[in-house]
Amino acid sequence: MSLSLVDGLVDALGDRQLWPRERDLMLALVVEDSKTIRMILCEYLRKMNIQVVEAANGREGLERLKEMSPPDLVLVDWNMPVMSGIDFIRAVRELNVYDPLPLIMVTTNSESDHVGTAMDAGANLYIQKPCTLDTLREKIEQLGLLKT
Amino acid sequence: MSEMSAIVLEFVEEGNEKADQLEQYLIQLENSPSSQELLAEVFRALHTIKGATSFLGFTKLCALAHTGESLLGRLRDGALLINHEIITALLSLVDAIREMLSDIAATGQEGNREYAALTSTLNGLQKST
Repeated sequence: MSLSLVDGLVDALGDRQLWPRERDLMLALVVEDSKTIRMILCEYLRKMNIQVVEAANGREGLERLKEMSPPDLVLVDWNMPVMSGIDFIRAVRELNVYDPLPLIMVTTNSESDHVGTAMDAGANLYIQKPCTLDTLREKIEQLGLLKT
Repeated sequence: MSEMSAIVLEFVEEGNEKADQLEQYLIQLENSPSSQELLAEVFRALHTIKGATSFLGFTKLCALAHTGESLLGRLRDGALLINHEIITALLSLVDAIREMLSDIAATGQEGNREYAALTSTLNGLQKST
């Protein structure tokens, strides 16, 4: 992965505390090229009282990470133009400071090879599309991010 | 407007955009049949439509898109070569997608049109060599 893709991500953090954070609402980054699916995932998250920042591809996702308050989790699609979800995950995982950031791959690719590739790249969880609100909530709970 | 109807409207708009892209890429692909980049763009456009249908429960449109995706998968794997018959069938698929999107825009439902002949054609082409 080219360093230029992640260049500035750490500097952009400045003195902002990464983990644990103190704020009332959780914050998620959703990286998905389909606006329809992005709207659905964002709606699911808002129903869980989670604030959302959106990006349409991996490169935009890296840009949002530079700009936003460090998120509590990231949902990322696999197949996207410009920069895929796998490349996004690899770019984020190159930076040790983001090691605790939970990355959830949400994709239609269901073969075990794909799951293995995503986990090897640094995803924490893998969700197959289409997913329901309950499935997503369950996965986020598995990460210990939501109180049951 | 409820949140779900806003999502369905977005789906119709995005679906029509992707259908337009699909049509353009398919026409280009007929003239450049060895272009893996064009084939990837065709695949991505159809995949985007299919992905959203599965979330929204539009099962007929999802199944039809899946049949087209399977044919594209055979082309991508090199098991089939692009020819005029395949491009024509895929353009018919684009027309069918537009029809269903039109029905969804008008009624919120997929409608009663049947696409058995198109499905059969797309499936048959997958088995051709």
